[in-house]
Amino acid sequence: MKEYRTNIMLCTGTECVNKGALEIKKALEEEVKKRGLEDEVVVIPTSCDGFCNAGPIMIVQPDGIFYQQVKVEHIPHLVEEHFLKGRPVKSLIYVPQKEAQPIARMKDIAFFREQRLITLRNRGLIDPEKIDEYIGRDGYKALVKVLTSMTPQEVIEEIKASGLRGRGGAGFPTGKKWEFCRAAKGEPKYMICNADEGDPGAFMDRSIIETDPHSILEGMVIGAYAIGASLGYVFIRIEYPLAIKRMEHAIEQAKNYGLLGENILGSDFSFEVKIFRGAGAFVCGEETALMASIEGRNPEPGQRPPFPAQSGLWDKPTNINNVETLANVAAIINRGAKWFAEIGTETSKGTKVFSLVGKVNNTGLVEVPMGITLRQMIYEIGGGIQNNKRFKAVQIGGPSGGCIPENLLDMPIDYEELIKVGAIMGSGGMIVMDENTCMVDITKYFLTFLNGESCGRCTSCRDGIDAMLEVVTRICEGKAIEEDIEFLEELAPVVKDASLCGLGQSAPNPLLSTLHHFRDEYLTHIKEKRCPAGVCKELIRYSINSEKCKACLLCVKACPSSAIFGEKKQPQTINIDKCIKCGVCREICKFDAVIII
Amino acid sequence: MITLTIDNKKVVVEDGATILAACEMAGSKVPTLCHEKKLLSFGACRICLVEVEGTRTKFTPSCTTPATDGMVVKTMTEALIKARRTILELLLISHPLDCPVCDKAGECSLQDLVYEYGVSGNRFKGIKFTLPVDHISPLIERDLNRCILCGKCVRICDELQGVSEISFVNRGMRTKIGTDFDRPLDCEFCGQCISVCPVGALTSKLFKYKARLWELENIPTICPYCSNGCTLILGIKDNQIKTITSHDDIGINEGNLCAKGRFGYEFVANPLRLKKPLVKRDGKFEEVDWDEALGLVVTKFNEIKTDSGANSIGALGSARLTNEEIYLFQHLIRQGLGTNNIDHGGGYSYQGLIGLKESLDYPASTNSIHEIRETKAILLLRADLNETHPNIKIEVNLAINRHQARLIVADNKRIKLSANVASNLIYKPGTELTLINGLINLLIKNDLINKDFIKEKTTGFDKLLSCVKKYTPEYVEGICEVNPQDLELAARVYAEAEKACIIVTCGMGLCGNNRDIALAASNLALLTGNIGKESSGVYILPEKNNSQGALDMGAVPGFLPGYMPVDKPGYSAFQMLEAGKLKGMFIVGENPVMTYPLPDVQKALESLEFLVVQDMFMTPTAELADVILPVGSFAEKEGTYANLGKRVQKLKKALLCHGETKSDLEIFIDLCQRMGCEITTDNNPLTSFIKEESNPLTSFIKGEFAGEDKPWKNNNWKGKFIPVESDEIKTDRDELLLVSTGSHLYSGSLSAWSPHLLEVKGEACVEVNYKDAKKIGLDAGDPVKISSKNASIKLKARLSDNIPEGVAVVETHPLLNVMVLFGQKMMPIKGKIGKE
Ligand SMILES: Cc1cc2nc3c(=O)[nH]c(=O)nc-3n(C[C@H](O)[C@H](O)[C@H](O)COP(=O)(O)O)c2cc1C
Ligand code: SF4
Ligand code: SF4
Ligand code: SF4
Ligand code: FES
Repeated sequence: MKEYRTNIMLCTGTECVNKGALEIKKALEEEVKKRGLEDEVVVIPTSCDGFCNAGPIMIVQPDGIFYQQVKVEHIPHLVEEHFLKGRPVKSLIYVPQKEAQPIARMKDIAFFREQRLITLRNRGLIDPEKIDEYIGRDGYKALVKVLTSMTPQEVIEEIKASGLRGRGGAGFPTGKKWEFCRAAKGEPKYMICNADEGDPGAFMDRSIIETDPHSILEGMVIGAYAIGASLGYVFIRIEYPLAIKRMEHAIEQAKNYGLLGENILGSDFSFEVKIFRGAGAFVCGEETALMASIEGRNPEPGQRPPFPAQSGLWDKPTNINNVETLANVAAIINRGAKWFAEIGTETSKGTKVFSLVGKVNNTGLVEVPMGITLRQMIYEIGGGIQNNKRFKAVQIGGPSGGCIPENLLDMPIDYEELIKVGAIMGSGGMIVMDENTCMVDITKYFLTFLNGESCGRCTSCRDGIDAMLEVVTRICEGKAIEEDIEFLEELAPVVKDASLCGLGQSAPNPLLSTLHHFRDEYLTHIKEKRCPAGVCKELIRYSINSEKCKACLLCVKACPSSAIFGEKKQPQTINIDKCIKCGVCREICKFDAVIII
Repeated sequence: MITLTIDNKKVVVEDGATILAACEMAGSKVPTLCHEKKLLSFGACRICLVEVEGTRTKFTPSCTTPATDGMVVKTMTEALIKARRTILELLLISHPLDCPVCDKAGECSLQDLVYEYGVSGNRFKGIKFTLPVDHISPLIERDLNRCILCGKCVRICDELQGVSEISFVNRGMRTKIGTDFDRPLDCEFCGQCISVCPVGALTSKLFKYKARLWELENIPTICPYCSNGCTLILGIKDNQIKTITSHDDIGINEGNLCAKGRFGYEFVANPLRLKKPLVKRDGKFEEVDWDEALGLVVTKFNEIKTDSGANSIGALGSARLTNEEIYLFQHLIRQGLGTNNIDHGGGYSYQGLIGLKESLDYPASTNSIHEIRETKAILLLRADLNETHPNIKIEVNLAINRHQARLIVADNKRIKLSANVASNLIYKPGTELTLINGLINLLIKNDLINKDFIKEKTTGFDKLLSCVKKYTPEYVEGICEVNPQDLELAARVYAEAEKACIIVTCGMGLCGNNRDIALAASNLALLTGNIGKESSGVYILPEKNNSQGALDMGAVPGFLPGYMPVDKPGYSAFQMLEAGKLKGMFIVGENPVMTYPLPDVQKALESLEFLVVQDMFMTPTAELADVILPVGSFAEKEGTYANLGKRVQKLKKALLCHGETKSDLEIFIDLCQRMGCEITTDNNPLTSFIKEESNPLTSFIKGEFAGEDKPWKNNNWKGKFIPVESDEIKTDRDELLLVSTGSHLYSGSLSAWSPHLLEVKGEACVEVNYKDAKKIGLDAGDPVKISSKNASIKLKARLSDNIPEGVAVVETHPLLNVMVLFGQKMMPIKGKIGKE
């Protein structure tokens, strides 16, 4: 490979591409050429850096200068200043909230500083479409080690010793899962990588595949060797075209290098991988539904036992692992179970990728060691709450996760700890909510989502979620009575304990956790018919603070139902009967005169 | 074996048994809604939850979880009762509480459980009950607002019926059971979905507003239609059949019924039924009393006997009569009138069984019905089971779906079951024997035959060998138009299976040489040793409810009851109907004018001096009679039928006599007395004469009377290879090859009098391929004239891809004799079709 003085690592993850990264690449290359720098400076497209709200992002190596929100029109100036004159462009460098000074170097930015990259170890460092770059960073070294010097049982022992647990939601110990599958009778055995990622807003798995598809393939081959599988499927949702493309390409390359297919690396071990494009609802990611999909049946969850390890795809022993789970495997083999087991907490080892979103300043994909506290996540990596608002709760675990209040912010993130407080690790969604969020309303939101996603097969899930939603809606509308809380408390556990698959079993989490941590807010809705956060439409009124109103009449013009009236040059008034509570007036008012009461 | 503890009681169950089965065994009642013994478990309703000690989850669904050793299960804890209540409450949210007008009330699982668990009004409002009720589909009414989404209907339609007419549509709360695009049902109308629906979402239209379930007296009896011998449960009120249901634990059918069995009972109460004996005077029928009618019958027959000899009298019986009736009838004809001129079914519908008798010395299917489901390969040889034997189709579906059996369909068209085949052999009509000889040739060539078996168990192999020599795949392709690869595959699938069955259907509406086809099937089975063991054998499926019994009881010219040969065989049915041969005839329960393939039946009957017809209806045959004796239906009498597995089953009298009708048996007893040939028994002729030691029947059916299958389990048998071949039928370019086919929804004699069934079926048609239709210039629904050298008839055209080019399939018709096209030989015949 040719060496360059300067490498521009340009993020071409889905977010950055959406924001114009490909045009920037073109502009950069043209500009570099124009200035005759083409032998010194090279543009390397990388995959997602995770700091998505700062995109498009580029990192100039080797000095590690971090540019954000780059636009095509910045390019000529940037090339001239930085690459020709050696002066980083301050205006494009990241400035954290509440701070005046830009932070030029990636490693100094809090968002990156607290992260620990194992599954995303090659993020921003390699071109995901080049197998050589992966190999250059110790790629497939673990596979060589496994095939030349380890028995399948030793691989399983190593993974067991590492304490790796499934990252797809349930947190089942991966080594143990492999061991079950290895012990099961039946031929052939299958190895499936679950890249369905149906949680709304989640994109960790997509990002890992786009960043480093070979790390997943390597994990799959090692896993397949351990369990004795001869055929593998990567189940990727059809909405992820780039991930599919990268994975296809990776499989092709790996085959050409003898890392997949017959007699891998000259051993007796053969393993093939196919891609299955999944198209379907959230519940398709559930393992039995996923297998049904591959078999061409209705993607509906099925009863376990038998577990996939005994009788899975086409009734053969099958192992299903999540993308992130598999991405850990090669690192564990390379660096040893002990190294991995030292990261994290007693029961949760290694790192976890979260998608940090909501009302924090820095949002994006982060990989952190297990055991990090929520406070670190939100205030250091996330850079605190936007607009200096007050933190209210953080929702963890995807749509059927739970909401955790402020007094628990110092708890370490770990499978068991999360369950204790009514949340779950899930696939790693983390939504930060501020004081303007109504916890009853947010519960309604998640229940609405789940209600639409229940496959409708079992009574407790299908009718149970709907009933919970009905009652919660009643509360939001101020039509509930106190006994409704009792109903919910009776109903929710039945939905949890009686439902067939994980969707139904976890669906009451948002309700139960908010009911537990924010009970007062429910009671205020019911008894006082009031929404403290000012969100539930039926329970709020808009009003104009006559002291603040400057009679600019912007709101009068904006109101879609002509509900605002008043004399010229006098404070205005809202006609409650006409007001449809759309909130436009409040948004448009420059003087914060519109208030919610 | 697995030992576990349920509610402090130890039980031992088989490996693989569910917790639910174990609970049942322990006598602990666990409620269920979506569980159905005969379907795969589904785990949807969640009402069957139990608590299992030491599990991760609080509750465990008992219907889907296998029992394991040492499990400790509780079925009635506080928590379980609460959870079940909640689940019931959830089901009630979207359930219209319209029990007072629901036909299921009284037998509704939901109603029962709600009552048992004391669930009162519910605390959720719900939206709901907005789905339109399907009043349009025939026979079945669907009110999906009452549906609890247990999925049983979907599963039975798929797993057993293989139809998949209905499925779950939408997700979550919007989930419902639907058809594609919400169209009305267009399926087999078996009503199996109704039978499993735990609530009133699917109900029988025939039952609507007829009665409340608890008012009915439920009387199990045997179905009068096909030879499967299903048990029907007649729901009787006010001396009328209000509905027919079934029960999983009663009868061979395990609760499964087809459209005819379930909905085909209307003929019983049809106002057109004959109520009084009729005598024709001056060309007009007059009602007379029984004494006069029977007196006349005896006088007239005696006169003819004296004047022209007993041999100038003939009799046709029916495979719909009971064993006892047939026995007495042949006794009356043989002993009373003194002739062997007795036959039924045109003399050919039972020839398949005769074929087996020649080859195996056993004139019945070699195995019992339920063995089919455990076999590994099935050859359907001219067996369109959906049309002829729907409940045998269930066995085939079970074999395929649960036991990975592979299916070979050999037929002259594509049939419904062709959808799941390993090999599909569509042969040119009439070339069955060539096809089977081709298979035999291949098996011999590829050394797929069982030499030890042939040596030990068969005779005549050499003859077979020389016969099939010329039937190379290429030769067979030339005649049958079946390609050699398909043939090769079929040969392998059949011969390599550890257990395999051949299924052939026989009956009035099917053309082909039934005896020879049965022999060919038997040859194939003997060659591979796929016979004489569990789930391996040859099934000859006769058509009617007592086809087996009619033969067993000797309603044939050549055998006495129990297959004792007669000294001098009488005339066969066809011979009797040659004009001028006979002077008097006694026709019981058959309608040769409409169903026999002879063009001149009417003329022959008209030329008789004296004709007696015994029937329920004024059929075209009855119109020609001098005396008509009106009889009771199956629901109005007792007796036994033998099904195709030789299970002899009792009928139960459920209704009082219709008008002044008598049962066939009563009539025969009376006539025997009048003719001086009564059987001296105690007062119950039904059982006593069958049990009598001296009776030739006794040794034949001994032990079968218990209502158990008596499959062929005889170690000392030897099979005989009897090679069979047929002539090729050549058609000219503008000719088509005509074949007949039975149609499930009406065979005619009973179903034609059941209006709701006819509504479903619509008009009978001739089916041709689109390409042929184009050549002839036909559109779907066009009236056409079909002619063969024997006759021409008019039907409507239906176009279909399932029919090969050059072939026209003529459906049997309740009001028109289509069989006349085929003539005595009953072989496919060349003919022409033209637009009318
Ligand atoms: C409703 C539902 C949706 C799920 N979706 C996903 C998904 O999108 N991706 C995933 O990896 N696992 C998903 N799972 C979890 C899988 O069933 C399974 O546990 C996981 O793929 C196992 O891999 P792991 O052991 O590596 O975590 C889902 C589970 C449920 C109940
Ligand atoms: S729990 Fe919900 S999603 Fe899962 S099977 Fe039941 S209805 Fe379907
Ligand atoms: S009547 Fe029979 S074929 Fe029709 S939907 Fe019901 S089960 Fe299926
Ligand atoms: S219609 Fe009846 S059988 Fe079918 S799903 Fe609904 S309740 Fe069950
Ligand atoms: S009977 Fe077990 S879930 Fe329905």
